[in-house]
Amino acid sequence: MQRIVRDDVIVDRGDGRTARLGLPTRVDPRTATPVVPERPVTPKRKGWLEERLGVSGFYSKYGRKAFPVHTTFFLGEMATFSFFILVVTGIYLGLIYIPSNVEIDVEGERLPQAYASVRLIESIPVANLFRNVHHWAAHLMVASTLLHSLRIFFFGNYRKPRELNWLFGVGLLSLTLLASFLGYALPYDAYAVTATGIGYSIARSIPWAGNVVAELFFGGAFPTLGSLPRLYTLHVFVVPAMTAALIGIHLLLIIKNKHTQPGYARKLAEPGRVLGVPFWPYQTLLAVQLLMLMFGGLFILSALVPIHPLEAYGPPGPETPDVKPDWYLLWVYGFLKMIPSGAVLSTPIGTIGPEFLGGLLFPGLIFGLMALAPWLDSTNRPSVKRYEYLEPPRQAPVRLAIGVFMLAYVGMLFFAAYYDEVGLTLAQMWYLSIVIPGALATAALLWAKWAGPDAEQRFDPTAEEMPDEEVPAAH
Amino acid sequence: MMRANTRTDTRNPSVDLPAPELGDFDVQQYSTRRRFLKWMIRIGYGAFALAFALPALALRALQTEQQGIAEGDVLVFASGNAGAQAGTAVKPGDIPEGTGLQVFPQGKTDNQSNLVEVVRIAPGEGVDGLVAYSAICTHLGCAVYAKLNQAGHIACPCHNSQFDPANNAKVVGGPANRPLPPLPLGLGPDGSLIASGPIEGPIGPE
Ligand code: HEM
Ligand code: FES
Repeated sequence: MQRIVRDDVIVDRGDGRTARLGLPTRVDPRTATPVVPERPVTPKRKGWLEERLGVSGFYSKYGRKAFPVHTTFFLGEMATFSFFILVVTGIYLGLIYIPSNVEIDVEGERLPQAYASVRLIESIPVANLFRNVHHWAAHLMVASTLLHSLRIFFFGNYRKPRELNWLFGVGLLSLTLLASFLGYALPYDAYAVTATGIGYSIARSIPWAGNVVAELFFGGAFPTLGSLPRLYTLHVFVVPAMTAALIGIHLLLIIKNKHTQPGYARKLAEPGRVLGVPFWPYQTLLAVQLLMLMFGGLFILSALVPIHPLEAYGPPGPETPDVKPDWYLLWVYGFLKMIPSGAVLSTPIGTIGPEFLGGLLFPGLIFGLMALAPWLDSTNRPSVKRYEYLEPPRQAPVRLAIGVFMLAYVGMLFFAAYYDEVGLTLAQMWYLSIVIPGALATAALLWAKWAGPDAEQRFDPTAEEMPDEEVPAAH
Repeated sequence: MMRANTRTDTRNPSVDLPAPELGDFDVQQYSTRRRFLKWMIRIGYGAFALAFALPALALRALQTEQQGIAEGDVLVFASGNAGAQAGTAVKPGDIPEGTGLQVFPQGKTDNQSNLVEVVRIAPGEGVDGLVAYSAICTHLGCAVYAKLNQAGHIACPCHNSQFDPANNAKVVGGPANRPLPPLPLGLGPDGSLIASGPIEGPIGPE
């Protein structure tokens, strides 16, 4: 099954191809598993840092953590790096930006100071480039966080022992959306004031606590003198600090729980062992390459495709421009449009109106359902084993169908943002928003039943608790 | 609860160690004192958290004083693209049949919630055939379009709420839940449009 080529090992992956395990490796002939000798940590003379901090202990504890190599495993890293790029470019913007809505005279025009300062940013080529990178990176962060969570969902990796990290992930997705919403207010153009004004009204529609919450969050009745300093502090400090903390916890839990692995790892290493490249140096190299690639891509994109230039909407005026939110909030907008005007509920603690239902309650329900996934999934009962491998989606038809339903439903909400423009009535829209996701989910269910493996060849995604020593190997 | 005659090894809870000699040590009193101290610590944490939360409440609003519409305010063009310059007084003749126009009270144009939509409906109704409503949508607070839509209704660019100007701005479509509150109109000595009172009802979303 395997040949030994000098120090390297070629291992049959079972699918006709071979994988190459690059570290000096020996294969145990009976179990056919690669055995990796401990790296000798006997430097001739201890280094300067080694003498003072004992870094080799740190290295052998964390540096040898094995990272499975798989394209979708880079989505989470992309989200982290997007955040890093946002912080770096955001600091540059913060050096020039002024969070004030006071109107000043600029060459004969009355402009809010924030707007004027962003116009100044636009007039400095390098600052303008950073502004564009900041905005594009925000899109990239939302997109990669979302795709990352979909990968976890469809392969069933939110189950034991990773329920907590799933919750932190849902928190990170929410914080990312929140940061983007807050960022939108800052340029203070007509678009910003409209979008933020709607956010303010939605916050006010919270029963009982609405006014206090809205005023705390928006620094008074938006738009007012207190609004921009408040939103700015939340945007550049509070939310990023919370995001950084959550990312830290998220990564620590990955070290603790270890990665789930692609199915082929089960054939290459004994069940429960993580097969992948060690954190240092291989994974670090890959990660730095990814970061460089993202930096490069974002700069090229920003140079070629300017995003949200100020002149597009101009300074805020008495008229409301014809705007829809960006794609990642468009589904909330769809909800707002789909709730009919009569949907009002009087409760002892206040009125629940269509704004609250569409703007907060229903979006909140979707996030709530997502957060509860590990507890709604009947395969994840406390007594079961640990899920350590990606489970092929067609092996879990119900999860696949539910996931497809939710995705299609959110897709229909995007469509709902335009329903009246394509000539549909509200009733038709409601009907379609249930029927189309239902049909797609049924199709997914049937496909999985048809294409799914029969009982003997079901892939077992579980394993005993992983031992602490892992099997790092270049792959 | 504390057991009087055995003690558990904290490192290995399955092993019961022999009870220590308690002498005249009063277990009952010891545990209430411990409970009391635990509560004091918890209350201390709570007070600490409150000490940070309460000032935030005090920082709720940094409000600039803004004036609403009052009786006698002269109504002026809100923007320049309606045939006249923004800020000049509006005469009833500026508004043809079946159209709308947005105005501000003179001198109070920095308060967006003073924006008013004036519409010409059937002659003989309103003041000289004109009616006026707050232009702030009661759904989520966008400014409605100045121009009426094809059905002659006031429409909102944000989520397409529609209001019927000939019918007390009743909601005739979209998610808004309340009619736009009306502004009573009057005519000034020079024949220009004035407000004959404040806007009658809460402006924008409730
Ligand atoms: C947590 C991740 C973050 C996201 C998702 C995000 C997103 C955004 C968005 C969408 C905008 C509007 C951009 C535009 O209109 O061009 C914005 C503006 C801004 N952001 Fe961020 N941001 C993040 C973190 C940061 C950080 C950490 C800082 C500073 C340390 C920062 C500083 C700024 C500044 C100063 C502006 C206003 C300038 C402008 O609009 O051009 N941001 N942000
Ligand atoms: S704000 Fe006018 S319809 Fe939503």
